Amino acid sequence: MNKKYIIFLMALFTGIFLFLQVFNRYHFYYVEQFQLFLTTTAYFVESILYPGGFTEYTSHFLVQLFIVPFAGAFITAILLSLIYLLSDKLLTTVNRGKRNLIASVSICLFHLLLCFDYNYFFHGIIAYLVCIGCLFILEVKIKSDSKYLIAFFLVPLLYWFSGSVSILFAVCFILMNLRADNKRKLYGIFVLAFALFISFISVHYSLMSNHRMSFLPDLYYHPALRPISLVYISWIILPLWIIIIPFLGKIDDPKKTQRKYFLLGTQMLVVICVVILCIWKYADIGLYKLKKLDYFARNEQWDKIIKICKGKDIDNLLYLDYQNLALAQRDLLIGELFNFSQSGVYGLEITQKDIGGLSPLLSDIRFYIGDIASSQRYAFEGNLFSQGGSGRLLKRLVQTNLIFGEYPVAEKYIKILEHTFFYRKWAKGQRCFLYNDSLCMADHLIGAKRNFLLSAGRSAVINDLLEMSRALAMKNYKNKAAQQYMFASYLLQKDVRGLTEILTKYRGEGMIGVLPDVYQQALLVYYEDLPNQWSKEGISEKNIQQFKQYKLMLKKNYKNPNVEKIMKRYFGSTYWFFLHFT
Amino acid sequence: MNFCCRGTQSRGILLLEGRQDSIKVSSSGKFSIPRRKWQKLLEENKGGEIKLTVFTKNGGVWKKYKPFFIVIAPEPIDPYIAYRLIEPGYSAWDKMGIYQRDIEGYHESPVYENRVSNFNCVNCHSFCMQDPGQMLFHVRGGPNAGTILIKDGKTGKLNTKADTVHSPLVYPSWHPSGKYVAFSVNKTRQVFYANNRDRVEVFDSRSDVVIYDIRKHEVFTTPLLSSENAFETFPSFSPDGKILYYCSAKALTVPEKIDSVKYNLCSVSFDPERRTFGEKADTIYHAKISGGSAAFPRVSPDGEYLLFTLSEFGNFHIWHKDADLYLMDLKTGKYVDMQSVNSNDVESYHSWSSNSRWFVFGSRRLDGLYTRLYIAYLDSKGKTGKAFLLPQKDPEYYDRLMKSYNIPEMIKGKVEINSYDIVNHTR
Repeated sequence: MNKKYIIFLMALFTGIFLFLQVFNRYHFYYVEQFQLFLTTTAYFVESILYPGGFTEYTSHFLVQLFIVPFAGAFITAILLSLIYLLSDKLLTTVNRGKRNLIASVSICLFHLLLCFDYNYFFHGIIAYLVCIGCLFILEVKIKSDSKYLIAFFLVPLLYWFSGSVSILFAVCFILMNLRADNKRKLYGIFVLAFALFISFISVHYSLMSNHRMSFLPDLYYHPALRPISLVYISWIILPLWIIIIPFLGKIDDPKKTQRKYFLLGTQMLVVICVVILCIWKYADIGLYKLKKLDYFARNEQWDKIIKICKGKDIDNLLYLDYQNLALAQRDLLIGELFNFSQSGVYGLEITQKDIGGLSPLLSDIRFYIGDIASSQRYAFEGNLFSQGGSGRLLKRLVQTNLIFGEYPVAEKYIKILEHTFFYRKWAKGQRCFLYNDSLCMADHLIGAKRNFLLSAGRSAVINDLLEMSRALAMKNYKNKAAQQYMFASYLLQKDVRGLTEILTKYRGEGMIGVLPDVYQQALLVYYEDLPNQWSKEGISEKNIQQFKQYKLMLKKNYKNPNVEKIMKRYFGSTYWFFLHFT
Repeated sequence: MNFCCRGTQSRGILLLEGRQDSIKVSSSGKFSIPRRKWQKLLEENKGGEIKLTVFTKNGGVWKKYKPFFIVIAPEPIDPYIAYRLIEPGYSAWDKMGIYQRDIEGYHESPVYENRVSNFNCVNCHSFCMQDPGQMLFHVRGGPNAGTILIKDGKTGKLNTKADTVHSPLVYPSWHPSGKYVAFSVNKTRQVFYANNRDRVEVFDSRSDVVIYDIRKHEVFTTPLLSSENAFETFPSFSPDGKILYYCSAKALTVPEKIDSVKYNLCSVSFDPERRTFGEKADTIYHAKISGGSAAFPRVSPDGEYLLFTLSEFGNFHIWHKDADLYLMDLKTGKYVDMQSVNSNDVESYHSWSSNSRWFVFGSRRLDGLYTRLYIAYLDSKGKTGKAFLLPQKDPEYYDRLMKSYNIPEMIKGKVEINSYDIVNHTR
């Protein structure tokens, strides 16, 4: 490798790293929390029992490191650079020593784009790297006829280690030897036939679940879903280049320097345009924002979530869930409710259908208000759907079981986490609470949540957030979290009557002093026709005047097609605006 | 019978002493007993006992623990147990399957895993008289959905969409002749408690018992088993096929009155030639008089004992921490002392070995949530031995296993069909 090549490689690595770190960093944190790597021999043995297990084990090892800042982008950039390097070497061999930049870069590019798809498992990239690594060794390093024998024995090993990528290996191997004589072509066919046989027999003996997994890149995609076309393209592109490249003619001709740089420049331009197009089409920007919010929520960086959401028009319910959870954590949910975008009660908690990836959020919300049973349920089911376990959700399961005093189960989860690199310290720190009620009660988190539990008995969990938060808030008036969500639910559901009744109850118990503005605004709506009642309800003169102004302006602009914009400008952060226009 | 000493990773020695022979096992935490030597020791000490003494070395000092004894029963146990592995609870699942475990060793192999059929639910596996060649199980959802029947080397689907039934057929029980299968048809719901150690409550708002005629593909029943005023469930044929046991409770509004729903254990005669039932049902266990609510009646293959689960109310006892096993001597009507079997946590779902000397059941006594299998012995005089945990090659296996064992069924041999064959035959 000459200096220029090394510099190009370094530039490529740096470019990929920076690109991933700038545009995809939170994806790595998101992926890491849904898988678990255990440092036990038993975990290793159980992992490698099925085809593809070894690569999957390696992948889990690397993905656990994604929790470290920069690590996700760094590791991925290394692997993608290696993919570029090895495919470049392979295709240069196919092209009889002539390099084709666009071919190798395109292979690297398609795998880079796959990094944006949450459903594509990281071990797909590792498996691909192993595949082209084997091809590289055979075609570039060995070259002699012994490579056919080695390839033949490599196929079952590759299948066992890395899964269905052995089919890709066999196909590329046979294509790379198409120009060989008939005898060698036949050897190549044997290799492919053997690979197909192994894939088939693996399904027959239930080592693989079905043919799709055994023959195609579907093995590296979420098993309940059909892979997007990009996954298949990432496989097809290498054999396609192997076929096409010999027909493309000379590109890197040192005699025609101008033409060489012109073609190089054109190729780079094409590559850049394709990158932009593919990012636009495949990189789900909306999902990226969600991952960012999730990261901040996981690390309790509520101010950062508030900063992201402040002043923005948000209609995505998941974003609103994070926003409102952050506001509640900062005790701002009621005071600032309509200073932020709101979209009804599902902006507090989305209606859960497919729990899966939403489980950390749902578990966090329910944990916050003190509905520990629901929080436990979401954590349990989310953990079930993750890749072998979820560190984040197991932590939540430890907490919920400690709160309930289910120490043996909590201990089970602690033991599992103690066999990880990044969760063991936290897990060890929880051991002191096991079988120690007094320490649990003294803990600010476990003790408080335990105090807020509904009375033990046969009361069922209530799915409806308003009903559940009301039950919790009524059980213990000190449960401010449940209180916030309860009042916010009433407001966002536009249940002014329900809110008035609850406020009366709270005032009767002496649990509420000066009413926040938003409550006063709601009361004004309820008692609109009873102005004598306004001062009795503690409504301030400021709100009364503002209400009058609101009604006047509404009356004046009622028929104006821009009434919403006008009203928003003056009254956008009032409850009345939300009531009438959302 | 590999095991480890909790809380210590120090060097250890285990001495197993029988009448004639002994085994010495060294370890650094886990005692792994050589299989052949163990089996030889068992063979030599049938009907007797083995003495086990554990020595551990910690900080240069050896400690000897008080010896304990394992009693070796003269009768063998069926060599396989089939069960489902599934996460314990709520409403979601991902990977699950029906597995069989060779209990003479440690090998577990899948009978059917749901990854071959889009991760749908598989349940209700059942064998005719512990025969691995006659089994059925249910697959919910997908192109293979239905009740899969494996009989006489053939695989097929039962046609169970009879007009008279309101729900899928569940809780199967084979008639010993292999010609019929009793099912329950249940409308089942579950709720989750806000603060209760039982976590989940599962209940039926409607249930009846029906019999499926395998040859004629017909479902039939009797008013005694399908009353509007009662919930009938958990059918179980006696070993001679002439009696059908089942559980029945007065139909009440659920979940509001769930803690008042108490199941009696009943029986009705059955004529397999005419497909007819007796006119009256007998009440073996009366919930109102005796207290509690019965579930899962299972008569031993020799017809002498009836094993069932009892809890305070309801029928889904795996979620009731007070659930225990009860064993009735059918000749005398008296109960066998089960103190050595039960614990202060859940005991539920049980099945017999073919020689009636052993039974396997699920228990959550280890951690209160994950069901593990326990095996207990019943001698010819009606005395039970202490229940013991199904051993694993790695004694710490249960610490990391995140699934529960469900519906353990002892079988006389290995089920020889695999998932791929089932999928192909039933598409």
